[in-house]
Amino acid sequence: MVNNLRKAIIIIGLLGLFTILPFFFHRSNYIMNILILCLIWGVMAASWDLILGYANVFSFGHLSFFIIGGYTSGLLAEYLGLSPWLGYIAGGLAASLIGFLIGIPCLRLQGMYLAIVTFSLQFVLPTFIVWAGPGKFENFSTGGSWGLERIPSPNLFGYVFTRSELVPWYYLTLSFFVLFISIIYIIIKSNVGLAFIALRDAEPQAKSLGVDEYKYKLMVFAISAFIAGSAGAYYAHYFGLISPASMSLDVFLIVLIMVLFGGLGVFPGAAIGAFIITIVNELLRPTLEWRLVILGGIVILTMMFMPKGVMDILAALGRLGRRIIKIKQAPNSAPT
Amino acid sequence: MLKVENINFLYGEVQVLTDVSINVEEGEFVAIFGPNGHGKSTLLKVICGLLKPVSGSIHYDGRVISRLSTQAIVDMGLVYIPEDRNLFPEMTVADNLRMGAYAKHARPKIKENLELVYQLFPKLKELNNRTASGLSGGEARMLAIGRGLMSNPKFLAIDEPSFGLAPNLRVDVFKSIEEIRKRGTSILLVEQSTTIASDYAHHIYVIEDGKIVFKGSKEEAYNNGKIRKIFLGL
Amino acid sequence: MDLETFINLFLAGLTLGTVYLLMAMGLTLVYGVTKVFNYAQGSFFTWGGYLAWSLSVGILGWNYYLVIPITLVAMFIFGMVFEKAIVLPLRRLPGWDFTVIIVTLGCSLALDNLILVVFGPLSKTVPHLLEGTFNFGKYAIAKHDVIMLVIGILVFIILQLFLSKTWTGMALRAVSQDNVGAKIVGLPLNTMYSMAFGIAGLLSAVAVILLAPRTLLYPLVGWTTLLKAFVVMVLGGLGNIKGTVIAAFALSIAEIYSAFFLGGIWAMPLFLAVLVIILVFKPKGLFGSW
Repeated sequence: MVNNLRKAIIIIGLLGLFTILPFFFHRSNYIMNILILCLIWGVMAASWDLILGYANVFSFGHLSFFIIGGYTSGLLAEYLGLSPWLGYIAGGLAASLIGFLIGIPCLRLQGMYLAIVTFSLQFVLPTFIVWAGPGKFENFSTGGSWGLERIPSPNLFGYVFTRSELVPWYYLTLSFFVLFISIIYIIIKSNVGLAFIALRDAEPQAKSLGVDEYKYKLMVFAISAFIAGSAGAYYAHYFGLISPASMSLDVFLIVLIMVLFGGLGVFPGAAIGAFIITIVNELLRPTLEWRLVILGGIVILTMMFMPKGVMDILAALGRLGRRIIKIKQAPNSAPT
Repeated sequence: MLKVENINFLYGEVQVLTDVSINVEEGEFVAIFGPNGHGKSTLLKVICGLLKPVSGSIHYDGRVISRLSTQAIVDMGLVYIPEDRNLFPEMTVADNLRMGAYAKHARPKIKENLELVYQLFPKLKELNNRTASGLSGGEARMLAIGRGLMSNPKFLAIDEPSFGLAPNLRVDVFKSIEEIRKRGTSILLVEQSTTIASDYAHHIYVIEDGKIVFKGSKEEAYNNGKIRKIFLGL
Repeated sequence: MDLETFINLFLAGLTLGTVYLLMAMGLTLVYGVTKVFNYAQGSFFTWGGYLAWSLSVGILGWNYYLVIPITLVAMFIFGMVFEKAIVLPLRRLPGWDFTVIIVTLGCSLALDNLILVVFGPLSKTVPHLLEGTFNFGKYAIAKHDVIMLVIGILVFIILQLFLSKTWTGMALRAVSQDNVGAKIVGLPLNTMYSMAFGIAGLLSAVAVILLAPRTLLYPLVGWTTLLKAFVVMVLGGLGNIKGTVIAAFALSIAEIYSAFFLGGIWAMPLFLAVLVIILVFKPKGLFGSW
């Protein structure tokens, strides 16, 4: 009971903090952009953690869903004039559908195989995008390797979001983030989430009780793909641009690092990881070409010393903090 | 030769071995009996370095081996033959035996030891080119012991040498083990079936629930009413 | 398509096959012995190539025939050091089999971008082992391809002999077949792990020296080869030598001919499609025993 109250306070506190952040930073478009990116990647990373950390599915193709969502929404906006609001949903649905279709054969595979098959999507998807580029078809183009440009921004009751005014974008993104993180949280706490914890901790017993691993995995796969696709669509309409470069190997590794850095299967580790890595990535920009080398180094060191990710450190800090408080309160009594 | 003192071992939260102490003098044949799942195999694994004890010490040949790797322990002449046999499934019988002689001190003696193995287990010579995965239970057990012998052991720790074997084979296996002991190798074995092994044993230990509940000779075990029950597997 | 083109393509397919075979052998060996799938093996490939390039035409200008053995030895050592410094420390941690995937990915990120930093993004040309062509009447066959095929097969045979006849080779196989059994016969496991990685490094170096003259050298060159090698490994069945050989050549020949008719960019999708189809029907690979 006390635990829940404490959690609620932390959440409200954080929410409050995030709500007032723009008051300090609204003058700097640079910082506002970073914050917005943190939120978008936070959703993406959290959705990946759902399938990777909770459902224990070695899916390494999650970024592909992000891209599929982005392209779907962008293309629908360009060729059918679809509003971005519907585009977010359409992008999510497209990604979810493809995720479902891929999942049916692939989720039966063992870990390592599944990892490589999904990882190969990284290399295959851009091929198709480039192939369907300018000149291939008469009335249709994905933009090829240059990407899809001039993707429209959303329009809220007449107000058209623009990248010169990032504060409204920020609040929109924050709402988007809160919405999807809540959805993910609800899933984790639901029967589906319980099923996975059971499968993770006591597989034979869970299965004997009738937990159908495959069915649940497929469900979570499709749902997390939807969220990633939606995030991708959001990303596309925010930047106004999406290209195969958005899913380069570097981006893949960075997003994967976000998930792992935060700790797998520990909510909301992935989102926290996304925040930290996005910021670290930005801070490292002055190192130019060395940025990714250093980032890779950080990954290696992190996993060696903090294999459970950031949540591990937070938990340890939490325990340390509580012990300090106890000592302060009763300096003369023996430790219990 | 082997002195195990106050070994404690936990598997997760479960205490599998509590304060276990065992002694094997050079050239002795010592048997450990007890019901299944009460820690006999675990004790052997701890002695041979596959598992590390939480507390206690193990002395072998004058040195402390409690923290050593299995490889180092094998190099000292202490060879373990597991219940699961752990043969190399895709290698032939010949290659499995050969691999037994990998250790530096065992290589110069390959020819000798191979002769010995074929003498004790002539069937293995017949099966020379058979792949290990294609062996029957009894043949696999012979190969496991044979491979252990190729490591030129001064001390053999064997887990359930006769398990799953037909009765006549059981007698043969123990005869062979006694042969090996006569040539100067100390023997510590763990068994569920007590009848044959206890005939050869100098000392007997009985483990129940991870604790040593008896130490003595075969006669003493028989005369102890409570032990007799466990001893006879009742 | 005329006969000369057909033959040259076929030869190119065979030589490509040996490259995939060697990479796949490296992957299989490492996975079998250490139970680690080394995502950074592509980076071994890339580093081997750039090392060979720097020592010869790129920077130092040494004789290429001298550079080759130096590169092979260097990459062997590189593999061993990699294992000792990165993989071994992770074994002590809980959940290490997942952590090691992340770390090897992180390593590939660092290693590939280090190449980018030092050498820049433009492709480098690696010398052919032999310039020119053999001429049989009116047919010309690239000398390099023939040499590639011969060397590739030679290395493969030497590898097989090493694994089946030498103490170390047999020890490697033993470790991959039964880890506990290996311990109780006194095999030095840690040494075996390093050796497996070292050999994988060496095989990657051979592979890149054979392949790079044709495909050029660029920072991400290792990834496509790695993935294709993985498909070969899966198709052939883990640990199944015959299967791996067949898979390597079947896929490489298919790749060469489809590249000729459809264009090179479809190689990866083709491999992936084949992989998925096979795995759907035979989740353990075509000849898998694993």
